[in-house]
Amino acid sequence: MTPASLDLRPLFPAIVVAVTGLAVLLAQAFTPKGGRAPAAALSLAGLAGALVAVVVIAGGRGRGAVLATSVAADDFALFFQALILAIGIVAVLLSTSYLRETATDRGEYYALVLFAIVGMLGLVSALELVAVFVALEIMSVAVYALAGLQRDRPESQEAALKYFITGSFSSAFFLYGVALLYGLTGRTSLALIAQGLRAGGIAPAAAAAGVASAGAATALALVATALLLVGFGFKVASVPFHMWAPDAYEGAPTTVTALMAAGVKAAAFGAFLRVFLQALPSLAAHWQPAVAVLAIVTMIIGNLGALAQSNLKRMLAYSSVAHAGYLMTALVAAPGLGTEAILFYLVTYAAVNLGGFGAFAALTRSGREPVTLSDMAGLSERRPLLAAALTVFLVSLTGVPVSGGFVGKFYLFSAAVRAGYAHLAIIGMLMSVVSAYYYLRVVVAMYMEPPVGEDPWSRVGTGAALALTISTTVVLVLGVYPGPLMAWARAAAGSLR
Amino acid sequence: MSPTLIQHALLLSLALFAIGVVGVFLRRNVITVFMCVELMLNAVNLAFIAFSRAWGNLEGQVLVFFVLTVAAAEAAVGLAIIISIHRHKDTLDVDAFSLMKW
Repeated sequence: MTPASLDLRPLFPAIVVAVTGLAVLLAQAFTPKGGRAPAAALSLAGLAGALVAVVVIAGGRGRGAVLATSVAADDFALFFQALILAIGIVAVLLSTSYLRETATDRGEYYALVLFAIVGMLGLVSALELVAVFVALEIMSVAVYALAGLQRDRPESQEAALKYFITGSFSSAFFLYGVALLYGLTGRTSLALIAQGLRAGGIAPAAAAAGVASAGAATALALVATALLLVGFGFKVASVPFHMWAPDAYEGAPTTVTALMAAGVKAAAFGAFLRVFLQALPSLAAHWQPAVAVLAIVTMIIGNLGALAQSNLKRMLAYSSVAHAGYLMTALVAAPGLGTEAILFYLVTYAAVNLGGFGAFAALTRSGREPVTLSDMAGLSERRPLLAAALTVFLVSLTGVPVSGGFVGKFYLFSAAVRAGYAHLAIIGMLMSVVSAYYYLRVVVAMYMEPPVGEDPWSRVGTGAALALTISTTVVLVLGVYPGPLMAWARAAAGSLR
Repeated sequence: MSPTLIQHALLLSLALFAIGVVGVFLRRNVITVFMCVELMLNAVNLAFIAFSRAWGNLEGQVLVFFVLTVAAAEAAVGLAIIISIHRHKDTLDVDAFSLMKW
């Protein structure tokens, strides 16, 4: 074995965020009683610093794989890291006023957000299954704790518990898949696993693992693939592994829900793409149909589930399940156009979900959040700008032209059609029509119904206003001028070929 | 370790994993459910060690250390969540956690 290279430049963004997380914890500990450490400001500085590091690395300094090629800064990783850091910045901006209004304003909130982001950054740059697993767990453990941070709200505790149990259950499945792939190839690196599975590496493995025939070895490889699919299915909340999502999204603090819907989903899809495209391309003929079936049921059940909801957060949770389905329609068309489409859509999807959940968080006053459709009645008179922004997000989720969501969905479905999965695109479009009903119901309530009683909602704070402006801008700009992001997504998708 | 011994280790690992999965679905006490998840993780560890032996490389054994560490961190957060929900509910029956629909 060659001595491990000590070039850590590709890891720099994650290191900056991790150190900031520790600094936030320490700042809280050293603040005199009653005082407040500038946790949000520190976190923003750290995330911005990491974003600068990503830009510098993208400029050419410090690309490449390090630590025995277990972590890499390639175009794919850098695309996702920039997205995740931007999600982190917007989530922190949203958090300050929300935490104050719900009396959860503690330093550890920001530290946990930063640690979750470290996990996400690692997840999208890992080239090796051990690193994928460790990053997945860094992210998940931090988010379990974040979900349960409102200790006096039983719903928050329940959300944390359900997320924790299902999350660790799914990690075990993922890990068994890793074990089987390791057993078959003797390797944990994605590229070497692909090599082993392709070049008849199964034969010696079969002997070593005591598997009698090559047929049995292939069967074992398929079982491993299925186990990985279950693990990622849970993390991206695809049906039938979605049952935790509505509860966890509804019960978790709203800003954490925004982070879960945008960041966790993006990072999980990043790892999903990389593992399946880099380690298991030789089994694509087997896993693509399975993913196609999952995509269909996810689109249908997610949208029908959302129709039935009266709680707004729960509705958006089911909508995020449905969107996992839309994204998976392009996964069957990956690599190439499918990957690009997923990368592009994840950006608009993240902006829309941060905005949607962020709008609810921004209205929260003294622990009371908008929960039902009637809470939205007449919002266009009380908060005209926020109502307009929320309309943009909901319209984009539906996929109406001149929003980023339309371009993204068009991209996803045309990738599916070109790969010969036209039926997926048709189901996706039909389900988008169904989704218009529950999304636009909120818009109707905001604009057509008169406001009732006294105004119970908070003024929109500066940080939240900035966050909502960023999200709205991203959605609208991508709707009319998607070219540059498409080009960037194409370059990023290139490193998975 | 002979091939048959490796096979036996793998069969045991599979059995432990299956017991864990069944336990997660059937047990009603949250702590027992959590222990079943831990059982699944340790079943995976056994598989890693057996495969590591079969291949004669150390990657599998190194992985076990990572899994153990992660499982410890997960247990710390998980038990904290369980304690905190117990303060609200005074029960650890999973059926009682139904403020929101499952």
